[in-house]
Amino acid sequence: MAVSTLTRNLRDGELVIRDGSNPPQSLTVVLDEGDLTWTERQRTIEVKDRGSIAAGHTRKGDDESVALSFSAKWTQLLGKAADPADPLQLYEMLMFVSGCDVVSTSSPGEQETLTLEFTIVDPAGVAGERVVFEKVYRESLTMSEGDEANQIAFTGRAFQTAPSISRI
Amino acid sequence: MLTAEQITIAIQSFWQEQYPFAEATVWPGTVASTATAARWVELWIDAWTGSARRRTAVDRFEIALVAHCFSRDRSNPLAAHELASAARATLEHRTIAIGQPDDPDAPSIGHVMFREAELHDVGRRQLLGHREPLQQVIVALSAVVEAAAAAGM
Repeated sequence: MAVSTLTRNLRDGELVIRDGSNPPQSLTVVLDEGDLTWTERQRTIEVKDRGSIAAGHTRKGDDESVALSFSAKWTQLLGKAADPADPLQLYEMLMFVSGCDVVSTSSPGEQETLTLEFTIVDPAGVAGERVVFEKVYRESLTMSEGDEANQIAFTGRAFQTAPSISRI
Repeated sequence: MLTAEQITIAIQSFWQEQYPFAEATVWPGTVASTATAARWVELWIDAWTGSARRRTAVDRFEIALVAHCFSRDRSNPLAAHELASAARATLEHRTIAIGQPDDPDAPSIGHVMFREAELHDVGRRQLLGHREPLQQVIVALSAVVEAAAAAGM
């Protein structure tokens, strides 16, 4: 059986961000908080018959993009943008900071997007899974100070109705 | 993964170089007679606490360090406080690089980042008239230990 019934938790995940370069630049978020959240919404049009649900019906509504968010401990804000010899940093990748050569995964003229790849390792080593969010654009990036660690919090959307999930 | 040995060596080496009363330090695991000592400091790393993190994340945890400062100096009833204040000044808000003991010239493999200190006077002043009064001040600090992150690319 290639299915494991063991519960997964934040220890089992890994978040990697890729851009549209060929080959893509990728960054493993090594200090994320393990709080990746995404929501797949379904829109429905309720057509009621003179206010009655019993006599009414539903229709499919517009597609809804996937809302997602995650946060990470803040280390260096600028790396490659400040010195090409330095490694790419989370902030500059998410912000497409000039000088770090981060390329959008969408066509020129469209909003700048990235690919987020979330891998969940099966603790039993049986059936790991990979969740890929395509065309992820930023809605907000919030930087905040904290006692234990400063934080970068990302919220955005993947321009697809659901991420693609595959077994690895 | 950082080892207890690497972290302990880094902290003790820093203490040895920076603490103004380093010669009064009684190191864990050593046998010392304090019966006739005028003052001494015992330096302990009491607790190692990991927090929830990804398996693939860099090694990161908290340690609790306690310096027990003792004095029998009857001429100076604040001698233990002097030891404690110096301990606080030595460690509070300090960042100590963790080196590789077998290769001192190699890049550091992590850091110990000390937070604010907390001092507790657990001496008993009324005992100062006693034949062998003992002052004791405890300096407690917590620190975050973080392994050096590999390049994100």
